[in-house]
Amino acid sequence: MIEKNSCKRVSYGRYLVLTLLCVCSLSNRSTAQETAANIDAETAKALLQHVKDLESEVNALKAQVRSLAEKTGSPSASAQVPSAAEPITPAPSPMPEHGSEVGSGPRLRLQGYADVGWNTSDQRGATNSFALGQFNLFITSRLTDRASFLSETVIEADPGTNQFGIDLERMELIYAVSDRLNLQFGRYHTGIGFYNTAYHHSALMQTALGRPFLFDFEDHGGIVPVHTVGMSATGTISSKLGLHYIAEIGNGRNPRTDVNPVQNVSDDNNGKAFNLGFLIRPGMVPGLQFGFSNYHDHVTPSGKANVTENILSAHVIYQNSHFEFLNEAVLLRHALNNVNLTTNIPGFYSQVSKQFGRYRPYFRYEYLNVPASDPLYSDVGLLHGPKVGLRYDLNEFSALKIEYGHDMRRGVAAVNRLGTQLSFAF
Amino acid sequence: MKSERYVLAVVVALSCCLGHSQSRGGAKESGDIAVVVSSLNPVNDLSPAELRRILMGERRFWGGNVQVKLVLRERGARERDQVLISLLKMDNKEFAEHWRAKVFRGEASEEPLTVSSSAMARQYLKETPGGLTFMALQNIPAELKVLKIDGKLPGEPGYLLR
Repeated sequence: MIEKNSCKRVSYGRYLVLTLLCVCSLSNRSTAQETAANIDAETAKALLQHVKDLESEVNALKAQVRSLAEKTGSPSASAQVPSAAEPITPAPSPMPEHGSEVGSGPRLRLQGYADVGWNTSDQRGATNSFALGQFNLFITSRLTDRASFLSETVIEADPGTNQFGIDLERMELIYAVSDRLNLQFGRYHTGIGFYNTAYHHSALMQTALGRPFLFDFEDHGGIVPVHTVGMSATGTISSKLGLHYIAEIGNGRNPRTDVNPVQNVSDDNNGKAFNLGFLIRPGMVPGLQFGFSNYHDHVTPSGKANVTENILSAHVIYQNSHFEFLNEAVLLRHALNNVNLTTNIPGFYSQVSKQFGRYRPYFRYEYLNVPASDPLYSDVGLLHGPKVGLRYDLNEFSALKIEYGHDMRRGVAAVNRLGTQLSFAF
Repeated sequence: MKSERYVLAVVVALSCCLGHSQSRGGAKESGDIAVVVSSLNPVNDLSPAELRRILMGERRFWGGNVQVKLVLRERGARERDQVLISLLKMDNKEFAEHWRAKVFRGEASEEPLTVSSSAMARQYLKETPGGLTFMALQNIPAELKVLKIDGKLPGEPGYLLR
């Protein structure tokens, strides 16, 4: 009985060993098979990435050794760093730029934008001309973790005199308190509508050759106070709704023609210009934005009655990398003080464009109608017409544009214009 | 009978162990891209919309007004290119243009930091409480935190970044 039991035990023991061996061999086999199967494109890609990472780190370390050797002037140290045979990669800084919060001073960055072109028109007396556009030095500097500085200094020639002039178009000290509050002090683009704060003084950033007449710069005949000197607050009210606000207070504008319309240093009255706007960027539809704003100011033209100015604007924009559809309408209301006279200046533009590879054809229609009774801009009159053009991106930092425009004015013969522009960053 | 049960139990236990280890290995090699933050960051979960807003520079602060410090790998790295395509439907050129315009408008002081290796991104996150980056699973050290996206961790079915 005992023998029988021991035999049984032995057979169970054998069975156990055999089972374990089978399980082990099966598991090894299956693992081996899976390993072989798993070395597919994904794994190979991951491994290559890892190798690339290691190479980058080695290069970074070599760069550090090289710079140390250069600093110490030790020929032996620099001789130890091979340079001819290895691939030259931009040496990454040992630790990232915006990370070093402790002890980091202001970091100034300079980016340039410029454009040159050739323009012609069938306007009587006009000549075709090559033209230098704006030479824009864009400076940013991160001062602290939350504070930064931004400026745009533009050099451009006056079409009437061919003389160059320098303008400090923007100079802003920016302080980010939170997502709900972002403060700007200095000279900035007034938050009227979309275009004025989306595009500044770089032709490269804009799809078309130039700005819509409605948002043209003050010294180019524009009737909207594009620039303001003062302070501005922007922020998010509800991130769920994508609701944002903009609130500004500044010097307003000077309507006299013999001085700079932007009151950079002194205001000609004690009343300040206010602007309040709201815009929605719904998260469900990336690229969609709509909003409105109201700008209020008291303007004091010399030798005329004071004017209360309200500028109401509304916009609906859909814009992504491939397609844009911009629509903006503005109503300027000028009320003469002590006189029961109010003039309304309606204006709008619509612009549509679509990217096809490097090509982006575009179309814009703009309209502006200043009544003859307007106390400030009656000389502008009615101006409307289409523009059609083609933008060709030479690369990420330069673009070639050609544009045809048909400008119609009240009481004046329509003018056909043809313009070309090469805009670039440097 | 007892011995048979014993054998069966051993076999089952071994199978379970093998299966478990293989499934962990599978998660590590799933190719999912993790959203990684500092372990000091109290956030555990982000919605895809919030992540998009961070990438686009529209959300610049975490709760408690700690600044979001976005760190991305260089162009061509899967952790960057795949994220841009999956979340923003953008390529690198479009993403760079977006950020250039944002800086130009004064809405950001500088573009997101770009580093050339996962090790640098890891190091940066260890030193920066508000840092956020994207990493392959095998590159994440224990001292960093992986965020859930829409309630899902990398490796789980339906995870967004893969």
